[in-house]
Amino acid sequence: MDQPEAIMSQSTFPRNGLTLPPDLEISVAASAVGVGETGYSVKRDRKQNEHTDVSGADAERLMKRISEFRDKTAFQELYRLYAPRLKGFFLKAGCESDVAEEISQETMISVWRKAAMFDPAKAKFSTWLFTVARNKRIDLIRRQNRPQIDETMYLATVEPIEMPDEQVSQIHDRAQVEAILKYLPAEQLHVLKMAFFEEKSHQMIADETGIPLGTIKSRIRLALGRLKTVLETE
Amino acid sequence: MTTQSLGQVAPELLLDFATGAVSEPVALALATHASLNNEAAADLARLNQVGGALLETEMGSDINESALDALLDRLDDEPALVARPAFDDETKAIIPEPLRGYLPSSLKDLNWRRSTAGVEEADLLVPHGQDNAADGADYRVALLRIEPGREVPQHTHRGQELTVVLDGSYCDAENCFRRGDIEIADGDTDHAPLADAVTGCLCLIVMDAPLKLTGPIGRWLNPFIKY
Repeated sequence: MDQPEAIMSQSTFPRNGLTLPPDLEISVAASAVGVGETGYSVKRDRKQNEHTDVSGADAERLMKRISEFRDKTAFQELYRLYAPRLKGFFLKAGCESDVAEEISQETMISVWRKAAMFDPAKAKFSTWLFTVARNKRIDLIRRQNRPQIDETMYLATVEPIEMPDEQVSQIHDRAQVEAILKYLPAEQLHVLKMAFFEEKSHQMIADETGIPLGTIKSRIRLALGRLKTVLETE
Repeated sequence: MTTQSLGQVAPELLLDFATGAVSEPVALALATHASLNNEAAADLARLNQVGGALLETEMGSDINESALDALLDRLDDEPALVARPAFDDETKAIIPEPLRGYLPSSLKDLNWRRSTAGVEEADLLVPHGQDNAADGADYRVALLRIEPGREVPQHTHRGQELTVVLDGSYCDAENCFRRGDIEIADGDTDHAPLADAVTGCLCLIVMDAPLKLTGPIGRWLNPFIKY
């Protein structure tokens, strides 16, 4: 009880021996993550990225190798599959190319470091990856707003930890997403698209569209209700 | 009266959180709420799935090989181990993740400062911003402890205040809030939260601007308003 649990800091910024509150996200003991050489040589494969559809099973298989064996080849494969998607996602959100690149890189580093935390029983890899990228986005906004306090501010990012008791059906592919989104009336869909595709806050959506905040709010509320109907299990 | 979940009270905040369009302190408040409220967690999980599916089907750009090389080199930079305090049972029972990681010590050892009779605060995050900064860049994040039957002096808010109840409960004129509930207050709210007469109340508060005292209380020194 008196022994502090040693955990890994997930920050990429040097701490320089400052006393900081502990990182919160990675609460596994360092030994479980298997720090160290894996014995695999890293192949710097210069093959062009192929835009293949990614199966969840591929990602899970690769994550297992990364988590259990710190397999850098597996990581490279995962990187080739997801880094372009991450970058594209953030570019679409209006980030500058170098910012989008940075968030993608930082997200993949987090994936490497937090691999042991991914539980395929609890979420699809892409869902988990999305939350990691989302948290990186929050982290970057914070760093932009307060760059001068990087050394002193607690750098933990925030992730909802517990999945709810009720089961939530998994979305399996884009077709399914689109089918689900078709359940939404056009005005609700429009708001969600601006939020996810363009990464606009609700205030920005209101500002851009001229639609009153109250209306935006009720459209989101209704959309959440629809998603609940469509994604709830029997 | 029962309070509603975040999805009903402030669905726009939930969506902003899901897409990462909020500040870290607000994200902390919302994640803490979601860790204690199944409905909010479920709404968030569904939004995360939408995000994940969109990510999955994103075709994206080409690989930057030198970026990959640089990344592979970084994989071996294992970050320094950071010790985490051993929390006592009370703290573990009351404080959920991810909030727990923001506590430098168990609850009883935090730097509690009395702000007014029966009310104490312990700052969690960092440097306060400029006075009256309401540009969203400077937040105040603290734990607030109200003794049984005591109230926070009547006030409204210059900005936005999120309160998540961690233990006990409080009521204001319109609603009561219990463990896991979140209250979102702004300039339209003018209240004097009153803690339960038996249990008192422990809350997480996140503010992006100072309070504005509105009640007949006279001058008193209060870190609440010393932003």
